[in-house]
Amino acid sequence: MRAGGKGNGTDRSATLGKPAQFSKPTAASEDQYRILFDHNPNPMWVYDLETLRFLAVNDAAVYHYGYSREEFLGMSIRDIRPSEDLARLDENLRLTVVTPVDDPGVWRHLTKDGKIFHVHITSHEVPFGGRKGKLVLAQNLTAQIEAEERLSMALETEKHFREEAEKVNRRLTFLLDASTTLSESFDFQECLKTVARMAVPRIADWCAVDILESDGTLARLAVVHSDPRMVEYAFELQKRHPYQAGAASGLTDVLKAGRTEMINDIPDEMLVARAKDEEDLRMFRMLGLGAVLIVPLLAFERTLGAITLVYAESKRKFTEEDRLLAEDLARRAAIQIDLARLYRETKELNASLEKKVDDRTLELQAANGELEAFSYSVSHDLRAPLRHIHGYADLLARHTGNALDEKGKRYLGLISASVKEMGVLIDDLLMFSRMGRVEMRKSTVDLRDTVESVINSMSQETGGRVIEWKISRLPVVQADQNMLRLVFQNLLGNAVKYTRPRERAVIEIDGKLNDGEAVICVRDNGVGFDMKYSDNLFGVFQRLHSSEEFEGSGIGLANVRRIIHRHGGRTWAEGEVDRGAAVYFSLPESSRV
Amino acid sequence: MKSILLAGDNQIDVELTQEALGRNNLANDVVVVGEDGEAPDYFRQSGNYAGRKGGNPAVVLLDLKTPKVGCLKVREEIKGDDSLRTIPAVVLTSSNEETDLLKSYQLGVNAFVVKPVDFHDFMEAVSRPGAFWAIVNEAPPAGVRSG
Repeated sequence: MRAGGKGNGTDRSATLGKPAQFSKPTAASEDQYRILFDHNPNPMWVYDLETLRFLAVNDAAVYHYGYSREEFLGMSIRDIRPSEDLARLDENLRLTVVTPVDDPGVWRHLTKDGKIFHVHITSHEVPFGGRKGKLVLAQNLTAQIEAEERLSMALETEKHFREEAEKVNRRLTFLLDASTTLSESFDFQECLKTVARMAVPRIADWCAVDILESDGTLARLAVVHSDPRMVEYAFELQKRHPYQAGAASGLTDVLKAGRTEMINDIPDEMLVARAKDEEDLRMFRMLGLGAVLIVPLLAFERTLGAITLVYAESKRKFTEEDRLLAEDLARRAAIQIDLARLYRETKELNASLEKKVDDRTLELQAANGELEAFSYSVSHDLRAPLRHIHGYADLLARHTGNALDEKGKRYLGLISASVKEMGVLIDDLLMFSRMGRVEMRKSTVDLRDTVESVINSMSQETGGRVIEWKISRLPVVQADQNMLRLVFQNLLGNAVKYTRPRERAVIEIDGKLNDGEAVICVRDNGVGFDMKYSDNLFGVFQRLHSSEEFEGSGIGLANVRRIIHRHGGRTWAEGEVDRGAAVYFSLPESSRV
Repeated sequence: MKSILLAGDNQIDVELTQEALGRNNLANDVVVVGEDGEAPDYFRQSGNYAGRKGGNPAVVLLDLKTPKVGCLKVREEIKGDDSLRTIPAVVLTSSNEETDLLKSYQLGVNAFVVKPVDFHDFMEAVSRPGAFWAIVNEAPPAGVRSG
């Protein structure tokens, strides 16, 4: 469709809006071509390259731009541009005027009611009605661009969510690492250092951990900074500015309220105000405090201390994200710090307990040694004179012969009898003392065998008496054989002794299991005892009967108790006057075979 | 018959032991030595015992209040000497402490007798080992050195 310049076409401009004459085509085809222009679904127009005025517009242009054909023909192409795009248009016109076919690309056009829409423009130079014109095809891109914008927005949203997810993921990974690292050590100091190390450089340029001591002071226990010099400054500053409860400082507020403090902008005046002297100020500035985030270490509603995070040389600022992360880290750290502190205290307590036990053991060993020396002395020094008295009383009796009258002989007899009695008491006491001292030699002991053997050994005492022995099932235990034999010698001996007034004595020995421990009972139908004295039964030299009535030193049951206690068991007794007695002892579960 | 050498650290004990041995007709053969190195003198026939007759005693009865100390002396004086080592040594004492027993046997005594308080029991307890070693026991041939 090349516009000729020969005027052989019909000037349709008179019909307003109808395309003017096109070159070359025959009259028949011309109508058809005009249809292509008039009814093209995309807006089309021809404008005057010199005046930029519209020379013809099609139906689609009228429809899309909202101007009537008449209005279009009174306008220039500049009138359908937003004013800010005019410069670009002018520039484009200047450049493209030399090229016949042009694809100037995407433009913003203005409708009559001021709406902007995007169009893709293609144009072609044509002679039109004797003028140098340009045929323009405008493809509306609004839908496409909107779709692109929506897509781009969707992509933007997706990117945002992905970033958020990654952030959360990074945070969780960080906290998980933190928890793992923290839980690796129960060492208090190590724990604090771990916290500080984890914070740098992830959420701070340097980090200090301060712990409230039991006396209310604050101890800076860990500082981490990439520069060791700065670590020194941080410690030094803490020393120069000791913590004072109630003093105006960020740290004080955090510790008091248990709430985070975040200062993202620290003006130099603030440093000047805080500094005590030039040196202070120099250090403050050296540390380059850009932004400070102080989070409390809270464990079980107690403030243990605080973590101070500082952005300095990196010039970064703390975000809400950082705050949440720091608080989360602090919570985990606080619990671990609390545990570590408990662990440390427990260890210290244990150590002091062990020390006490050691001290006490030494004391006991010393006391035991003294007791041993005492018994040794008793054994030698008390017995020898007794033997001498007895010996010389005998010699005296022999020496005086018949010169001594009956009374004299009786006196000598009483001396000998008393000395013998005292000898028995000393022997019993020594035995009792030894029972507490001698080493236990545990072996497997069949209590039934022991009982039977003891009964056999008592034939002298039981001879001529009617005694019914009832022995039920008795356990086999881990115990000191000799000691348990002594126990039964005492218990069975007592039973035999205190049933002496009975024509027919009945002595039962039985054993049963009670809550895992073995309980052994020796029961008789003898003279019994009054329960209100049952506590005295097991004491040394405690006797409920006179020695005229029943012989004995009163050490037997004391020995029984001592032996059973040494085996980890208990002793007790039941009885009633004239209705018999039952003496019990238990052996713990650990002694069972 | 060979003699019984009785050595002790307590005069009264020694006297009673002597009495007990006498009642069992062993008195004539009992030689009592005091402390302070009399026993070695006796064995070597020196000091107070220079020129004494007879050989070594059949048995040495050690009447000791403190066996730990006494037995140490015995070891020094008898068991340390090859020519005396075969002479049986019997400890008579008040103690029945296990540590004393153990120590005495470790130091080389041949018997350990705990003296009862009762005088009759005492006489029996003391004279039995005296009679056993002096009369019943067959001593090693004279001149044989052990070790």
